Amino acid sequence: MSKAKCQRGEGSTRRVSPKPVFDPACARPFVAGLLSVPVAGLGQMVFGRGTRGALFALIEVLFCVLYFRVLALPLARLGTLGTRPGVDDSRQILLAGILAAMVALMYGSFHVYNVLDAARGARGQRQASRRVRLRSFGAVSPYLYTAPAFAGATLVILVPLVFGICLAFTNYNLYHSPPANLFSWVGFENFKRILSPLSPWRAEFLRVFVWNITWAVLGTTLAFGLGLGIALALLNPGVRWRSLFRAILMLPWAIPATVSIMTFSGLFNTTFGPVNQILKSIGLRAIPWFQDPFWAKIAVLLTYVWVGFPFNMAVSSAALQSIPTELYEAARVDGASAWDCFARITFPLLFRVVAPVLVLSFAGNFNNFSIIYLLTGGGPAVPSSRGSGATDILITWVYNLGFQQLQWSYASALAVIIFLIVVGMSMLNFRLSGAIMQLQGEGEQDG
Amino acid sequence: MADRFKPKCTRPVRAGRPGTAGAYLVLVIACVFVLYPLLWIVSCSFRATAGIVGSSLIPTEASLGNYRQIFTDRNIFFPRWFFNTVKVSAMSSLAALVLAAPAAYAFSRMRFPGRRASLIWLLIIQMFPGFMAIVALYTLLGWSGLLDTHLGLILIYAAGSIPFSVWLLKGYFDSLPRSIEESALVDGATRFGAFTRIVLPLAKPILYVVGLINFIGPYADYLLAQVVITSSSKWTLAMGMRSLTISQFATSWPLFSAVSVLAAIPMVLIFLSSERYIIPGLTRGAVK
Repeated sequence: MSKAKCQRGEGSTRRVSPKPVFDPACARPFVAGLLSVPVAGLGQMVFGRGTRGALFALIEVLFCVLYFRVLALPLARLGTLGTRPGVDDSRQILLAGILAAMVALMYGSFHVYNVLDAARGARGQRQASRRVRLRSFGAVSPYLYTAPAFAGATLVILVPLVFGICLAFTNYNLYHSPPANLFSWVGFENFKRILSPLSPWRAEFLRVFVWNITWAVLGTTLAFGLGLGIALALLNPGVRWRSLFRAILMLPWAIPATVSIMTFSGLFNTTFGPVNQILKSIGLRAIPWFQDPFWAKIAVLLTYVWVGFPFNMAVSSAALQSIPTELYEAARVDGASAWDCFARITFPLLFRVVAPVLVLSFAGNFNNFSIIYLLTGGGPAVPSSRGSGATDILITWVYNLGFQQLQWSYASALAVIIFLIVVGMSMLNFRLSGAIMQLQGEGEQDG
Repeated sequence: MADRFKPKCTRPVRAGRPGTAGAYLVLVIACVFVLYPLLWIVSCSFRATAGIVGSSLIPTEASLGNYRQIFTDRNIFFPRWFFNTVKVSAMSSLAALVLAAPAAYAFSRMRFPGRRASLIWLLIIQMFPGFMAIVALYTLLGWSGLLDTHLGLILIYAAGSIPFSVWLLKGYFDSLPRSIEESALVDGATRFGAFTRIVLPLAKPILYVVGLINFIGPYADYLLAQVVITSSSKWTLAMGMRSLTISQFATSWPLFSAVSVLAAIPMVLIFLSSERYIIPGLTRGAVK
């Protein structure tokens, strides 16, 4: 960057004399940067910023000590994930390796920064001093404010995430299960097995995936439809005791999900559940809610609609109330019917507000673990070789594969696939809602 | 008098008689749909006989026996489960706020290299299926000696909710005017002083909402608690309830119902009294 600036500066002189004149000032940033490549801070020290350079050099020395004392061993063992069965625990080796790699990466980015800083500082004394002033406490403070959150998110979310992704490339299963045995790297083997045609994995993956999509679409649509319908009824100006109705209808949202889901498992119980007893008392047959794949799916959906509609109702009614009333008055003057009002004004305007919320709840529902796990446990069992039940969605299947069958390798590979799907959907959502664009706008202001 | 000339029908649905009747019909059916499961579980909790559970909402022999048992039986000891749960939920909610609020403030008010990348990074990393983290978290907790402790559980809940909390708080901070802070800064207040004395008090509604959501999550969570906690004296409510539904399903159902009712009541009260903050808080963060 700095070199380009120099050449541009020379452009006018170049026209006068065709021979390029060597300007030593132009080489300084380059030399300074080069000096700082092997020894951090050397470039800064040579070009007159002794304290800063000394500090940088000290950091490099400290890192080298840390590297040879602490980091070198876990990094080296990352390649094999352990060699002595029963002594080495591959899980611990992998985790230690990831932590060490992260520290090394952090130092690596510091070192790159150091080289750029040396080059920038050597460009000219005046610029440097201004930059030094800018880089005083004010420039560091954002990082102090965000440091606790980043430390927490890194340890509890990022490190386990990287660990999970790494497991997808190993053979961690029942036969390669620490502490008695070791597991090792297998490359893309698990993904190949899951996605290659004719493998039993693929057939089962597709079946679960289709139900997963169906479940997320149907659940979100039904809960939203019901929520919208009730919000419309609630906002009808003729309705009295509105706050009482509203309080009652909000109850499912307020009740801890575990309580309501387990309650529904009792309600739908085939032998003693009240739903079947009511059906019998009005002369219908009892429905095998948790034994028949079709009815189990209905039960899961019904439960979700009960749990999920209040949120949709709340969001819809907030959105409905934000529609300017003048629009309806104008439409009525023009002779529009109630249906016209709904179809031409309410729905389009409402949809613009709730679309991001809908996509978000679709993504949440796609991975709605607790409702499936606590209600049906993924069952009823269907003929399958990889242990997925009729109502299993990807995430509950992954859980089952990991915790019940100890097939962590496949579970992790599936988790990576789910992760990619959800990230894709969310990217779509943010494109829709414009959050990214808003951020980009802010980014331009960053300067 | 003037009211008569104001347009009465300003809502999406016309206030005609059939419309209103239809609205009432929808609302009443919806209320029945909502209330039946709840009344059923309440009625179960008063049932004296264990095995046979019918569909009628009024138990033939009502008794407080189940409630008495969960307050005296040392194996099904509701007060301890409840205390553990409230302790874990409250501490994680508080810790999440302490971790997330300064970061959200920096993201909202300061411009620094890496800001945009960090925000997107926070969004993306939380989309990985949470429990896939369990093997790694289990190992980490083992190393730090935090397995089977509430502290371990609290730290994971708190740190795990950071991305969501940061985004929600940042959205709200963005909507607060900067002028008050800036004048305080001109008057010689420090950045941190402006944050703690001006921005945080102004942001009370969203702090409340984020705190509440981070309280509800651990309160209902079963999955992580069951992995981290092993000794039954440290069980949370969800673990206790799950143990009742798994063990002897039909026989312990009334006990489960009693625990459920008592577990749900505080949440319902908190939620209904603060619902009017939650919706604006959520839509402000999500829709904007």
